[in-house]
Amino acid sequence: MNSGKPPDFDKLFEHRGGFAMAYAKLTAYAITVINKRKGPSKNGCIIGGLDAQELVKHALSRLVECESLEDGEAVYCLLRRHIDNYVRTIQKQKNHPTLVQISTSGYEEGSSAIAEPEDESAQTPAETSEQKDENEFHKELLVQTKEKFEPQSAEVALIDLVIEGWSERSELAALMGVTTQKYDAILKKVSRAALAVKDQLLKKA
Amino acid sequence: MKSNHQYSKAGNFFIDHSQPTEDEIDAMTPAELANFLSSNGVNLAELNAETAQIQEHLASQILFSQAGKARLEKAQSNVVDLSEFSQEQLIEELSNKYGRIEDIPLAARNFKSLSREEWESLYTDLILRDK
Repeated sequence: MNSGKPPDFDKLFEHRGGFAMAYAKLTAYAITVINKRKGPSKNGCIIGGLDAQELVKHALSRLVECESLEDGEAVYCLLRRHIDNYVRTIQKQKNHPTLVQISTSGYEEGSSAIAEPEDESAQTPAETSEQKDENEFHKELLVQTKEKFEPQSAEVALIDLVIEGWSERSELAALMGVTTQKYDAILKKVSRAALAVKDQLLKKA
Repeated sequence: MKSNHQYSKAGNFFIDHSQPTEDEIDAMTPAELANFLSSNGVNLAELNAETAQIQEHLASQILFSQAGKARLEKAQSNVVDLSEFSQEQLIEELSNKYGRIEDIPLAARNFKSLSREEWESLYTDLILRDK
């Protein structure tokens, strides 16, 4: 970094059409991250309330920590990672902090068992309940998305196959008896409908 | 019977595919980008109008940070290595100058402890400064 000289962001992102274009595309990226990760849980609602532009500005402010601002593409990718990591951190944040007993009178028998949980990955009842709510939300989302199409349609067939656990593009296309191009078009249609249903359900919640 | 988890997985599958990928965003034309932003409540023209101010603000944030780092580096380069002196030697020289330890202007310097670091700091400020 050239100390004492203000960085030229238009030059830095020249390969991406300048700063304004890079900023607009990063905003578009932030929108996709928010749309994907927002949900019915407490953290999901927080994500749903995030402003994409503020998210990009937050990522940009972290460039002060950057050792070098020479490689524009590396900086652009770093900004995308900052956006993703920020939202992911909110999504994974525990709503219910782990309580640890603080000893006030030296060692007490049994205190070590309280300080060290047997299984750190074990879910608390609150987390299990939240996951159940999330599953119920998606079940409703899929039911309502299916209602937007004819019962015997390729769209409904695709939803059923994905619920069964299929996710590979070529396998799904083969099971539906369509070309991969046709599959892509059907997937796009269903996905857009699912997003609209998700927004409706989140508004109601 | 399908597990409940399967619905979450399937729901997320469709939601993920409802959004353009990084590559698709990169390949968007300005018109496509404007359309995508607009369908998500962002006006590209308004956004573009803000970018000059954002750049300016960011540049000043970076300059401020650089100045802070440069100041810190300078302060670190001014650190005098006193490791070859024992603590007793440092105290002795300070005592020689001020007569008694009690007369060393400690309070004026927010003297908090009798640690080695504090003696070194006193030595640097009160002895080396006058040399």
